Amino acid sequence: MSSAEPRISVLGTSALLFEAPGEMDLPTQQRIWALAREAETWPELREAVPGMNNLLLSFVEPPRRLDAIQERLVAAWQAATPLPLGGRVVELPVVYGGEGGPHMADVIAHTGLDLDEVVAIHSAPVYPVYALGSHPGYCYLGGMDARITTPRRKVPVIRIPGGAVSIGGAQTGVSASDGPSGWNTIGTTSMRFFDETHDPPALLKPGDSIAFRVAGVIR
Amino acid sequence: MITILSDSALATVQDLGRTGALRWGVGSAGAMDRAALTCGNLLLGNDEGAAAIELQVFPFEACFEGEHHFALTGADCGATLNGRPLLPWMAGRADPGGVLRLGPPANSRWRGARAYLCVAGGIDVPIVLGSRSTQLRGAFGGLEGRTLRQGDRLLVGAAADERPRPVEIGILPPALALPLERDGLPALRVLPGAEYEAFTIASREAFWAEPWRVTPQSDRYGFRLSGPPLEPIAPMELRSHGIVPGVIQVPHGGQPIVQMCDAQPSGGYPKIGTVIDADLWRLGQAPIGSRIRFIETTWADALAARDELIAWMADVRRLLDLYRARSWSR
Amino acid sequence: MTSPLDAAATLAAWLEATDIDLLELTGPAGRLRLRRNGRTSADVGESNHPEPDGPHDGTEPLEGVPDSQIVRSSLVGHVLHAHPLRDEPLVRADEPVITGQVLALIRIGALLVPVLAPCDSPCASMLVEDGALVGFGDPLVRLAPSGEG
Repeated sequence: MSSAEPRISVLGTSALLFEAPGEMDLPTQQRIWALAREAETWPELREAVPGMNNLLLSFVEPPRRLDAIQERLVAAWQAATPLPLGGRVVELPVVYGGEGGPHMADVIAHTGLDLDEVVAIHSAPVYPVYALGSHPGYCYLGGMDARITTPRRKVPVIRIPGGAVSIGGAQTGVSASDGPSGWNTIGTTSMRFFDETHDPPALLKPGDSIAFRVAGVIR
Repeated sequence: MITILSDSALATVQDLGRTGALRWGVGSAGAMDRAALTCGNLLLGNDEGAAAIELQVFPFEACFEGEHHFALTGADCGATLNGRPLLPWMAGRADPGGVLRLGPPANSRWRGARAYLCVAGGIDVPIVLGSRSTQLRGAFGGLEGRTLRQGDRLLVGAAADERPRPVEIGILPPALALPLERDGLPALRVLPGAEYEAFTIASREAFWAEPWRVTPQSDRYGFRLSGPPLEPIAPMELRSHGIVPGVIQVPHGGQPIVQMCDAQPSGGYPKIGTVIDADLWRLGQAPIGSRIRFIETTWADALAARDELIAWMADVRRLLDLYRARSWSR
Repeated sequence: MTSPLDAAATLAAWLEATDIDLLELTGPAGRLRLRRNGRTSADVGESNHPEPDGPHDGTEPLEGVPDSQIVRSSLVGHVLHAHPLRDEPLVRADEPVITGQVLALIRIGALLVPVLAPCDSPCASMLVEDGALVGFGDPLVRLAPSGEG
């Protein structure tokens, strides 16, 4: 995305997708949060769900014409200033490598780094939660160091357990439940990210942050 | 109460799906054929969104532990009650101990893939995040967040006095009432997606002109289709973004995957288009190995399709009300 | 069976909801024609046809056949010999039927109302063509009595 204008497209008749222009970064994400907060108040929308520098807007009912809401979105974006959602920092103990990190070798091979370097680089930052998506309670994180970027796997794994810590392209994340994944799993953590009996059911929300603490390294 | 007698895989409790929970990464789940679920509920006097059992693998057998009115919609599975043949898309009554059996979907005028066992009062499982639908990933909703097993016992909601009573009649299946075909194959209307023009012209033309086969790797998560490879003009790496059921993703390899009810609510693959919400029930009924066609549509036509389905359902509702009123006065 | 005039309001409501354009009922009390031209209108006039013999309820008797062997329509609609999803007819010419068996369906709009056998019978035969429009009281199926093939 290198154009200066945001892009709005339709997802069938159920929703609009708003994509912010420019490089993916935290200030842009903070403007997306601001836009979401504004759009949530519009009665024709059911939800405004942030993605990675983008926003899905689901309709209560699809409008007869799209131009009005598109214009409104663009205007709201232009007026949106970064909303620094203050949140808490959740520390996750991670055991890197071994059976819980079956693809660590692939990350090492792709990046040219050794095991200790990958662990050090991955566990250094405090990662802001940009968005929730993918599966219940899953957090999309920003701020991964580009040195450990590893492309998504050509053949996804059918079942990665909940708690899997993975790298997909330039992003990192933690699975909240068992399921398939095309990302490279480098470690494991135990944490309940989602409880449907709680209100809200997700442990984390946009604006919170995750810090990975090295609980062990299995060679 | 209904007891599951058979070992059938992939049966789940579903209603019209879970909305308003995308913000927590929770997709809609829900019936793959919402028209069938709704019709079954209308016959029984249920709320349209009452929960039912969705069946995908056959044979299926269940026992009605009490007297229950029920309706079978969706694919015609040659169902019997205590060995006596039932007609499809019809409501009936079972005495306590009645055994219902469904076979594989029949190769008749229309072959579907999924059947719905609706019961008066609805399947009574707890509402979780606003819905009784089964959320398999994360294991909540439906019956304990999982597929049904032999021996499972499902409670049935009490039919409230003020509800319309069940009528033991049938509804014309929407596949016959609202046909949609192209060159003799079932067709689905598609709105082009954000990355539509990022595909080559030849690929775009092939997308609309060629039949697509539903491969065996097709299920509630997504339908993997086989056909001509769809090629982007240049390789694309997209950021993770929210998606909805019906989104047609094209990963490396060029074979499209249509995201369905249990799909992740977000993705990162290029989107060539989205099957319109009003036609998702048609795709949900496309059997493995069958072929489909896509029809390019506009926003206005997509809304017209939605209006048509809503109007047809309203006609059904109105006729059922007239029928019930007529029967009272006889 | 009430007179067609009493049924007019109900019939009008049905016609509004379905695809039937013209319905004409004739009986001893007169003729009722309901036409749907965007809205339903009714004409009632003296019957031009001689009064039929038999019961004064507007139904047509079949020559010499006891009423108990005739299954009559309780609805206005189109008769279907088979379920729209299936090829095989509901009634096979030389097969017995049992009480409660579905003999035919009457389609009215999107509804399919089953016509049920009121008793066991060794043989059932359809009296109207597949797709025929029928009204209240029209004979649909003849059931042979037990002992007859």
